[in-house]
Amino acid sequence: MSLSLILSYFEMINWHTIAFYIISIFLISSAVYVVLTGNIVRSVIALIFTFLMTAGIYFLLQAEFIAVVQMLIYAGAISVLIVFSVMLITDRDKNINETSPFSHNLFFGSIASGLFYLAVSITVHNTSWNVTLKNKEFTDISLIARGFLTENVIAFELAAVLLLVALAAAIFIIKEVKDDN
Amino acid sequence: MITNSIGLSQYLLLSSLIFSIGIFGVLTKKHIISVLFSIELMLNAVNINLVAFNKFLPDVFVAGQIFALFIIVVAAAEIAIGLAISIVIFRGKGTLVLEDFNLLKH
Repeated sequence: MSLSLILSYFEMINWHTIAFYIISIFLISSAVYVVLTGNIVRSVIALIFTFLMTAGIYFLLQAEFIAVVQMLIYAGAISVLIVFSVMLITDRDKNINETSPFSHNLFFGSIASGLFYLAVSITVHNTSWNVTLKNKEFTDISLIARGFLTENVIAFELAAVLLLVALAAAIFIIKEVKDDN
Repeated sequence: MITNSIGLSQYLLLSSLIFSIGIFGVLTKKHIISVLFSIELMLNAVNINLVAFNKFLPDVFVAGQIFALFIIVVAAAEIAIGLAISIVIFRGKGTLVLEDFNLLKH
């Protein structure tokens, strides 16, 4: 009797809401830690944790493909890129951990970001969104593929060219200076 | 007991909070690497925004997710170019503090 009571109590709890608040607390606190810490290696670790929590938010929004892409590209590839470049830089720059993380315009930056958040939150509260909740189990990935290859095909090909040009340019920039030395 | 479901406004407030943290980092951090991290935070906030609109707005099928994927591509290109430029400047000048970057002033 008591067990069924406990089970019915558990069924009344909205787990989506609880998961949203837990993931939001971790996401916001790790994002604040990325900005506030002075040690750049700890900042990298907190940034990777922020990427993973963002993937959790995508899972809550039923966008599984975006969440998996986020974990593969952000938490996998971009994190490795950032960690390697931080290793290349902090090897010779001994003072990068000890220097003060903030420049002189701390007051101006906090005022500007606070005003931005105030404006956006007031706008969000005062706008009546035309919201309908789509009750789908999961997003059909073939819809994403069809969107890429029919409506947005030019942007898709341009994104491929952009990635190629960016990676070739990154390699070229670093290699050019090395040849001059 | 929590009965209120999470709607579009909560996701928008979350993403705008992450975006304003990114703005704070871009305006106040000293090293160029930290500024790049803050830009990544801002791009993540925009992606949360787009995916939330994709779920909650009626006439949208997967356009928000497609735009989020495009932003992920642009973010990957941006972080590669930004780190390459910062490594080159660090080789030339020996510093990464943004106030010392006055190459184009003289």
